[in-house]
Amino acid sequence: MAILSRVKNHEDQSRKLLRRAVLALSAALVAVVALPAVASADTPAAWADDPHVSGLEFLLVLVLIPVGLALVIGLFAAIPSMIHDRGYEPGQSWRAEAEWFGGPRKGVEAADDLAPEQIEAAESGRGGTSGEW
Amino acid sequence: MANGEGFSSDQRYEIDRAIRAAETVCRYEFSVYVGAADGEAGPFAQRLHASLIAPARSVLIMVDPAARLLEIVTGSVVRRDLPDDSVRLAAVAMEAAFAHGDLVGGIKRGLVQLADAARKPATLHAAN
Repeated sequence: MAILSRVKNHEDQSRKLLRRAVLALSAALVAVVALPAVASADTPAAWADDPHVSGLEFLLVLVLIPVGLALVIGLFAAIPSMIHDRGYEPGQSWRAEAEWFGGPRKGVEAADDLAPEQIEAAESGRGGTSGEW
Repeated sequence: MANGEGFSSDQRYEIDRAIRAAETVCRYEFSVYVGAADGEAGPFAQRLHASLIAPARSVLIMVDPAARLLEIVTGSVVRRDLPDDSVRLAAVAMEAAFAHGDLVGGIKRGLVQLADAARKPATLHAAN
């Protein structure tokens, strides 16, 4: 118990030291940042005069050009995915025409004009399953 | 070009390739129909199957994404190597993929599974 309390004391001391250090540092920072503001002066007379900037020019340089650039870059970034046909995507409803892979050349019409003997021949011993999701 | 209008050429190519791979594995014909059934799904799938070139040696997979229906029809010769239980297993795997919205992946997975199930085991101890 005694050892524990001593450890705790030690911790308290180091924390106090840390707090003091932070306080001193922040005071120094405030002094460095705030004091020179008092000594701020006008533009030296030897310097050239500021060119006059109209509100429109200000808007052009600081707003219109950056926004325009962002739009152009964004467009370039989006073009590949706009050109690329992504086809059927998960979650979409199927609105397309039916597709038959490996079916007869005539397509679904071949299923419409089946001869009775064709149906009979296919029927015997046929298997399979059906399901839904 | 507009989205939601069927498969892209890449997806078509993937399905075509999966069909060819499945046919190479088990030497039966595979056919995949994706779209709405004309009338009831079961009889329609059977009619599609009957109109194939060699129905007895063919497997027809019909997927109706809008109605969320799946039909698999196997011919009489295929059925000897591909029992309905195996077909049911493949159908379950496909339904799981479809339920996640993965249409192309489900078709591919079903083809692989059906072809693997229909593959005749290599004869290790031939009689002659």
